[in-house]
Amino acid sequence: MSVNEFLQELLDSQKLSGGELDAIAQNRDEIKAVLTTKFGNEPKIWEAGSKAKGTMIKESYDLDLVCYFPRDCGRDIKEIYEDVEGVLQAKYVIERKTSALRILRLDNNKNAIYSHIDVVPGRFIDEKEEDAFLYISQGEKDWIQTNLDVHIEHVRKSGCSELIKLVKLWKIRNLVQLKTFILELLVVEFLKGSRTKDNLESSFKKVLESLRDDISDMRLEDPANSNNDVCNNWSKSERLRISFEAKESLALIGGENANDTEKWKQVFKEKSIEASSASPLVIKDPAKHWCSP
Amino acid sequence: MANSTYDIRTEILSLRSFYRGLWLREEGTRFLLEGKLGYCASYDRTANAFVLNPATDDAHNVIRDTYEIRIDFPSDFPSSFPSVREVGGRIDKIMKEKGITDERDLHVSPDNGIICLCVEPEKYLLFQNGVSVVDYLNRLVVPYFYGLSYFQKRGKWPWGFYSHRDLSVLESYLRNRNPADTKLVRIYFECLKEVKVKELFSTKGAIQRQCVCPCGKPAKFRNCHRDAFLGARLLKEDYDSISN
Repeated sequence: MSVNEFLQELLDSQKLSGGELDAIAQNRDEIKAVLTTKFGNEPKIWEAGSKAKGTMIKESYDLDLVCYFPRDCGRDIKEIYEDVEGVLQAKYVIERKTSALRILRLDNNKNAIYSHIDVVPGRFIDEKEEDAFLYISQGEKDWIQTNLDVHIEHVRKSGCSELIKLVKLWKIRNLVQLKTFILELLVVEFLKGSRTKDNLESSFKKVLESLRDDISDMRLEDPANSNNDVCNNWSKSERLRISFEAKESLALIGGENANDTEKWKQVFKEKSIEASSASPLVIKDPAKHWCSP
Repeated sequence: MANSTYDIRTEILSLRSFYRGLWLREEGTRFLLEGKLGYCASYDRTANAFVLNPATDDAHNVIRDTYEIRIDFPSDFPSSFPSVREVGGRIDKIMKEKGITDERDLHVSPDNGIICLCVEPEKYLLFQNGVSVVDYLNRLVVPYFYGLSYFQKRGKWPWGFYSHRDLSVLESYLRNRNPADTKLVRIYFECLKEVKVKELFSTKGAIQRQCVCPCGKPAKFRNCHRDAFLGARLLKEDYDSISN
């Protein structure tokens, strides 16, 4: 089996089944119903994230829902964020993320294997209902201007969807901490102008090389807002970690190992996520757990 | 292991060969180890043996899983032990799935989210010769998360668990009793904090068979929490003998 065949097989194994897609639709409808019961048809609610971009993988996926209110709704973005939070909190366990509200668990997610659902509240900037303001609950700035449709189009039209899926899988299996949103934009940026995007092997290596060499002081413009550097909150140590992981993977598949499919399997941890060199450790009578309070 | 910044950094580097999803972050004088803890482990019930990285997939009850965790190392580590929290929302998810409303049933403190990995005196037994970060992960942290995944799958803990609070200390003493180790006896005794339990130790002579269980139920201690009752009797006997 060639490396490209192996990578294609990996991608094929990451397609979601009909049952899983149905479960996502069911969960989406449930949350939509919860929100419309309270807000009526005032907000526009639709799917964003990897599902809309065509970069969803079976190994790990979540559902992203956008909930945008019209410009003249009479509330500022903080109030909108808190109102949506209140409605969701009445039914689910919610965690505040930077601009999203994360639903940690749903009752009806037996067929879906994602761990959470993100709802992103916001308010359209004008009547055209394209750009929107989002409330930022953490960090220095308390709002951001964005356009999720532009993000979706940016990824969809890049021709990099398959490669993004592959890099996401690498990220997950190597336990690399990198926001998927940034990863997607990085892959598109690294492969800009490439004529061989369809060649999974060479494109994947190109992405890893760029992660290894180019991210230490990288800035990346948000396609939906030229004033926004998506790498702005990316710490030096986070950049170093990712560069280190890319370097380790490249060491496996570089040089004379380039065509060795077994080495590529190691990069994607096809056997397991833990180091293959780890030897068994037997612990007799393991400690019992308890609770002090 | 020496108590210095350099040593912890070196240890974390060695740890990366096994737990590559974990990273060190420094916050003032404190160290945080955070990220994804991935493991593969099994449990052999007959031998009561937990096996990390089992050689084959045919081993008993093999589980592969990943948790997002944060471990806070106190500034005086290793004199004091680190605290471990699950930060990816998985515990919440399991509670909801299983209809659990009290975090303590998953061995998590409701006050601060810290996981109770083992009874305090057992830390002394486990790490008498010093604690290393790798050992702490292998012997306490990973077994806990294995147990949690096992519980999520099967609805029970693989190797059982202790009761809450001081009763667990007494049950643990029954398991680990060694009257010759006077330091151990003192450590167990000093771990007892609850008034009702301490009262049992303040009277002269053996703990009476008729005494009421300190858990609060109107039942005899020996019937309600038998292992804790037996542990209490032995601990009192051993502590009295070294105190006299």
